[in-house]
Amino acid sequence: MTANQRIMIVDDEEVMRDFLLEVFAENKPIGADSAETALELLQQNEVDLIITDLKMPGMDGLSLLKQVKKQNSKIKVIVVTGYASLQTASDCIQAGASDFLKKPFSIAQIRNAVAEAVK
Amino acid sequence: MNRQRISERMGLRWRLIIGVSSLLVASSLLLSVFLLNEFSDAAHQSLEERGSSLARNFAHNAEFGIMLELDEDLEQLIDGMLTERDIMFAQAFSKQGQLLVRGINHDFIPLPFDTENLTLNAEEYDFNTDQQVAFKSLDADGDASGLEIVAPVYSQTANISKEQLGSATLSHDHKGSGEVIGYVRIGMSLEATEKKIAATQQMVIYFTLLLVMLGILLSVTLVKMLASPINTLVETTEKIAAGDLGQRASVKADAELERLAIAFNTMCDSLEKTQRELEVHNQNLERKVKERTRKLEEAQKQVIQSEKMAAVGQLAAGVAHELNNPLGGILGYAQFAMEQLKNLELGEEKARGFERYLSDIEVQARRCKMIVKNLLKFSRSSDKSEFGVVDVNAALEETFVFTSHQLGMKDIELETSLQEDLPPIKGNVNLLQQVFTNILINSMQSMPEGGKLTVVTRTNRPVGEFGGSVEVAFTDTGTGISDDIKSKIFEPFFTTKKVGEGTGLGLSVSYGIVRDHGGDIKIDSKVGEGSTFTVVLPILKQTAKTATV
Repeated sequence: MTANQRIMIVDDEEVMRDFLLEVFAENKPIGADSAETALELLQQNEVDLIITDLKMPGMDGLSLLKQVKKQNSKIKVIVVTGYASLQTASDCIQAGASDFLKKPFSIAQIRNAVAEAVK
Repeated sequence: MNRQRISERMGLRWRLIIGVSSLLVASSLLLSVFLLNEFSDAAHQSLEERGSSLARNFAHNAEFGIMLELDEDLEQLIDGMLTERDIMFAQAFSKQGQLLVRGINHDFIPLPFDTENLTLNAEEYDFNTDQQVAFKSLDADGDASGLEIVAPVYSQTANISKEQLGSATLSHDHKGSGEVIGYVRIGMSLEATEKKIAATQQMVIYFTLLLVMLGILLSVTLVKMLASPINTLVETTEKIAAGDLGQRASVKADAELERLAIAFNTMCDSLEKTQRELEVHNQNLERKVKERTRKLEEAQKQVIQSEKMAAVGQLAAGVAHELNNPLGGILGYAQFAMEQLKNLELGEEKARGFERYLSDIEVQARRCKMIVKNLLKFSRSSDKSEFGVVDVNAALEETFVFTSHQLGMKDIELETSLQEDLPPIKGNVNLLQQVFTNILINSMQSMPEGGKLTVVTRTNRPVGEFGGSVEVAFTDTGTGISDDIKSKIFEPFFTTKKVGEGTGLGLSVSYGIVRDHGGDIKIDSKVGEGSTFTVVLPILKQTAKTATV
């Protein structure tokens, strides 16, 4: 993964969002507290990869994934969630998610996932 | 009709006694009156006959005396007459009614009536044509105490001299010539006859009294013979009516009553038998009702328990998911901070201190992660697509291999009794082994001083319900579980262990797994004696039939 790749972090949990922003600080990532905000920010910014939470108030991560893929299928999406189930994981992969991570995950796991996605 | 009114009325016994006695008294009285009358008539008749005969004899013998006016002869005749015991007086009269001779029996003096009437008026007498005598009562102050008999004297020979008298053979035909030449009159005393009649009357009265008494005695005996078996039957019936069905009538009497008693006893027997059968039926019914009630209560308890567990599972899932987000932050930041720590120049000692703090945070966060993972295991349904045919005995044997070391360490003797032809079940072998392990660990922990653990597998096939089940019973000799704990033992985070020794999720996760297999875990325990955990798993339906062949 290189520093010029642009990453967007979507999570309604501030702690989680800030943590991921810190982890990928080198890439100067953009943070969004909801799926709606994320879609707005996508209009103004070019993004290569989105890390989104699944369960959020309003639009959820799966819908965001589908919208993003519809707009630009080149954008990679990694879904992270505390409500992991086989069903949601399978739904996300089918919708085009690059990876599906269960919270809590380690720094190594998320870094790996991102690296794999942009390879 | 109530009993009071019946007893107020005269009983059958008394009615019979009074009836029979009255009949006896009446018939005895009638008989005695009749007998007395007959006797009295016969006595009077016999007196009259005797009187008539004496009078006629007197008249016959007095023929010559009157005809020839031989007073001496007549006096002799009269004296002879007076020797008869009941002749009071004897008189001879001329044809015109003049007294010729008379004599009086001195035994009867004074006579109770006038004897000074020394004439006789033949027209006053009505002579009986047959016997040629006339009777007349001699009244003494209204009482007939004597009988007067008058007989005419007929002449039988026309002229006879005194000399001829002695040699003459006299004919006794009264009606020889038919000429009346005089009359004789005698008075007979009724005293002897009356005395005889009175004596007879007394005897008859005594006899009647005796007869009546005997009759009453007989009727009482008869009535008693009849009424006492009936009374016995009545008393027995009353006792039976009061509920004492064991009573029987003992009647040793006439064939009819004995037959009645036998029939009555037979009826009582069948009544008692029916009553006993009813009681048995009642008891059976009660037992069945109790059994059903118990089963219903058990089923209700199970429903409540599974509903409670489902609610707890939902709650646990929510909590687990909500915890994952903050846990993700904690774990992530701890790791991130450790990474960043290497880039800082803090000095070796300080850096090591911070590293330890962060490492502790990470370890504790990972522990939280494990708890949440187990919670989710409890709440999440097992994936049925991973279910296959499971040989419960084989799964158990593998579990024993993994846990035998621990069992040996804790000085616990393991005894197994696995049914050889145990039918297979449908399930996830790994999850089931997890259940068996959890229960084994739990049993081990209940025996800190060692003990005995018995594992038994068996088939339970209730008739008509489901297809039967496989049961795995784990019996330990541990501390046991009290009733208030039994109901909570499968709840998540319920533990009797010290903080840090157990999460309280082992049994609840096991319960969740068994429930997903359509089974149940039953606990049977006594404090101080030990517990039995029985895992019940439904038999695989398709193979249930072939397994029995």
